[in-house]
Amino acid sequence: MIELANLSKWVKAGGNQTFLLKDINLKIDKGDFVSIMGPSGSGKSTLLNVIGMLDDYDEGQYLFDGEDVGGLKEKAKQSLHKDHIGFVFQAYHLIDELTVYENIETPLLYQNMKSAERKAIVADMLDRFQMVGKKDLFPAQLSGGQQQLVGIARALVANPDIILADEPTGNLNSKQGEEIMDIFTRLNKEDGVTIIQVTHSEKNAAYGHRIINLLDARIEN
Amino acid sequence: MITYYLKIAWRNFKSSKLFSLLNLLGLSVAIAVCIPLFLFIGKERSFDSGYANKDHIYRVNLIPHQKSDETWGSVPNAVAPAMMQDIPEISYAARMLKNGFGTPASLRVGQENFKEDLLYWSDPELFKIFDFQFTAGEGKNPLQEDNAAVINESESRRLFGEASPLGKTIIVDNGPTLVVRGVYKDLPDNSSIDPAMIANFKSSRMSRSIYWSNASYETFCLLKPGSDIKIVNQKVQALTAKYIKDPSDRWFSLSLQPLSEIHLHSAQVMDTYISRIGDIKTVRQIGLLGLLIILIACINYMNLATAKSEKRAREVGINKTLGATRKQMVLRFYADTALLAFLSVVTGFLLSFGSLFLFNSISGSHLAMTDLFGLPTLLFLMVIWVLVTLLAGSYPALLLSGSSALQLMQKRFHAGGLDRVLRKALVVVQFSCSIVLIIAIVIIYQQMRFVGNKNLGFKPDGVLMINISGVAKAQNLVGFTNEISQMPNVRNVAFLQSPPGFGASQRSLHKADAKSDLTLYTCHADAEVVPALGLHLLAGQSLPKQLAKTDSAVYVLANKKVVDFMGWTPEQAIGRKVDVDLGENAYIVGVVDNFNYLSLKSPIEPYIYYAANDAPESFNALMVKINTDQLAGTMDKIQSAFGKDVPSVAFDYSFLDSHLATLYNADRVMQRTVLLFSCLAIFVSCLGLFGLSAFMAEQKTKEIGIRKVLGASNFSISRMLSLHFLRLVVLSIIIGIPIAVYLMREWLSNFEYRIHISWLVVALAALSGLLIALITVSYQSVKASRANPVNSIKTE
Repeated sequence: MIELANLSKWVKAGGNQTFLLKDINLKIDKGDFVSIMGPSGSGKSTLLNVIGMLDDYDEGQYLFDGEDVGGLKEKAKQSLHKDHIGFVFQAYHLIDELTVYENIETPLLYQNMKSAERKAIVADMLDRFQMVGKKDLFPAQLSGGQQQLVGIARALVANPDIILADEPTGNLNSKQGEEIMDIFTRLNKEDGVTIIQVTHSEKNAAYGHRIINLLDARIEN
Repeated sequence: MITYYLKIAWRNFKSSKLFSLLNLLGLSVAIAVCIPLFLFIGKERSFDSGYANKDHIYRVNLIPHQKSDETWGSVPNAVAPAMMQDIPEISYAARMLKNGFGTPASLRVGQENFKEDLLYWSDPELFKIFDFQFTAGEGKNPLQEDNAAVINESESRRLFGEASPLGKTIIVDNGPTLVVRGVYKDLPDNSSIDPAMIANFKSSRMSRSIYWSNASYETFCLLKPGSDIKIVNQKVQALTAKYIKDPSDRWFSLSLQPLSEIHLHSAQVMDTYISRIGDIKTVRQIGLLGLLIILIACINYMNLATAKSEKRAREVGINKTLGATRKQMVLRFYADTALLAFLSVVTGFLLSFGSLFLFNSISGSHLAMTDLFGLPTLLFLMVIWVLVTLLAGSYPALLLSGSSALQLMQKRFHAGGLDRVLRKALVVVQFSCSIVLIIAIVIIYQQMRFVGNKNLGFKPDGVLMINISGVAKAQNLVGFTNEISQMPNVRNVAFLQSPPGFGASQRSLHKADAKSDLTLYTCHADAEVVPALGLHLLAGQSLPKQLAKTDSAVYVLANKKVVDFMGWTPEQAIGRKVDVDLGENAYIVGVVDNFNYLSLKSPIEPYIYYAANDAPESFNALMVKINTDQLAGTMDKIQSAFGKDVPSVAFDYSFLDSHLATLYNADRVMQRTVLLFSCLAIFVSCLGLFGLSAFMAEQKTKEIGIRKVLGASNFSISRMLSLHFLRLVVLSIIIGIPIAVYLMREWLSNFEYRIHISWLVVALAALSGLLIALITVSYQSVKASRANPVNSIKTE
């Protein structure tokens, strides 16, 4: 499903070329659960952003479902990621002005879905995460773990093939973290959602089928 | 989707109260100010648009050869008949002569006297040119008989109450007796011509001789549809050559001015009876000021919105990762602005009831409250709504939607510093405007005070003017003048052709060896003119008190300009003959210092008072110099004496000093309007600065906290925050001063007598601008600097 071949990304600072990613070769199949690990600054988040098409790369090839992402126009990329990819962030990144319900509903609005359909899907999602009672609360009224649940529900609501999670448990205590990991495992097993997560924690990384270690912008073997 | 955008916009509005309220206040005040201005401009532009023939009506103007930069709105009374006879393209032409060349008439109806300012003597053709709506009488040809007159409805009520006026008689100035043959609907406010009563020109004393010399007759004509105005203009020009046999008597040329241009493009036209005169310059200035205020309010919004955008960037970034397209994000921001602009338009509309009242009272306009509900106002508000949304909303919308999601979600979003530069530039633009306005206020105020205190060369205070143009014979006044002269509070009583501030007769001052003559103003007067007006005699004496019946000499009291032109000293001039078109025997008996007989906008010109038997001009006014200590009592006595001694004429009086003040009415209106606008513009600017400083302080909370932990004092923190803005204000001052000085020099050039712009005053005005800014900003700075550093560090 995702194929990176000799992919590199760099920045130029004062004549020096600093690699953020170097010669990345990576193949992720449908239904995979991959954990990306590595020390700070090793390029984990950059890799995730490139996969999520939020960031560009400078060299190499990125095939998504066999399509060359490098050759796509901005609009095509946007619709690709709108239809296939859901994001979960360390800092949750919920919209403060929207309620739980509305936060979850937002991706569906951008899919131009009809109101009745939206209602049904969001209700289903609230049910699944047992948040029906909290649907009218604003993010500030929720605990961190609850906010991240909303974040995951929002990532899932548009029914993506892949979830990209950037340290999803980084701001949570270990019990909340476990809960999130259990949800990821279930999603992966039962719904066949591909999951790629960046994490610092060995324990959380172990939930994945395989672990990719990054060091100084390269994949370690 | 749109409801979703509006929902978020509404929540944003509520969640940042300070931001929203500052913007709402600024924009709604700006809109409330613009509504009356819009109505005012609309009314000015609508002048004379109600007449069915409006596109084919022209006024005949006159350009004197001697002063080709002047245009007069009136022409000799021979022009209208000649046009009708000679030019086939002219359907109709009609003269409109204001009674007594502009002096009010005294009407006698039954046993009562009425003063009438708006009596015109005109030709029946007037009703073919302008469409009057007759509500009584035979409307088709109401001035058929020579002694016919028509009046408007208000005049009918005033003179006759509820009774039908048809067939009733009115005696004008103890002269002709007129019969009312029709009543017409009052002409609308936006009509240039404003007669309350129109009488047949044939009954006027002025119809007895038809001549090509005296140009005092406002003349309108109606062109046949499809005529070429250029050709008609040529034909009109050719009339003088045809009818004035002696080429040296052809002292003017004629030209046609379309009706549509009369209201706004005639500010420089002299000698017209039309009093409802606007000026396209004023309309433009007012429109510009209105736009300026809207712009300042929009700049506030842009500034505050971009300042806040750093907060909102994250939200946009999230939406982008959730699949929002750029277009959708742009729409969201426009929805934000549109909501705020809509609320401002509504609030502004409500506030406009107050601002309209305010505008009417300072400008003397009569804009109706009902106009607020008219379609034009609603359309205007719609346009403002869209305009503000686009103008104010574009920058935040395009700035944020154009950046990538990753950039936006970073902790500190900067749009490459561009937003900061722009913000600074906008603050500078805004404050430069404020500085210009502050300087303008001060200079206009100074100039108006200068005008008020200027030594006019005579003393207008305590001079009562009584209109006596309705008195048929001067002998009838002897009893009255004798009686009031006895009153202890009456000092002098002078007879005059026309008081200072009114026009006088124009004649020529001839000098044997000079190539060209000098235009000179003459005024028939008597001996008391010097003490009554407080003129300063330089040599000789005042006009003689009594003239022998057989005396054929003309006695002249000249101002210094006259003797300067002749090359004499005042002493040398006494007893000399002068040729001023008043006959062979005109002698100078006295010389007075120059005085401003018109407004200070015009230079002093040669002026003489003369006394003679059988003077060509009659006396129109009595100047009564009084002691104003017991004004009310004195006035009562004078009035009752007038009623007793001159029972057939209405007592029409005014005070010379207040009349002279009316010469500067337009400038006073300008002064007050600018003052109001400037205060509002400065207020709106300050709102923006206040909001901006609040956001800056909020943004720098962490920096402030760290600095305080490192030992910075409250004072040094607030100084740091304030200085950031004051630098911009200083830059605004540097930009604003030259603009203000340039604009004010332009305005002052309207005045013949004007102040010099003092740099000290400009500097003080600019300094006060700085002070206002400092006070605005320091509130936030001090507040931020006094916060507990522990709290501010925690915010990250």
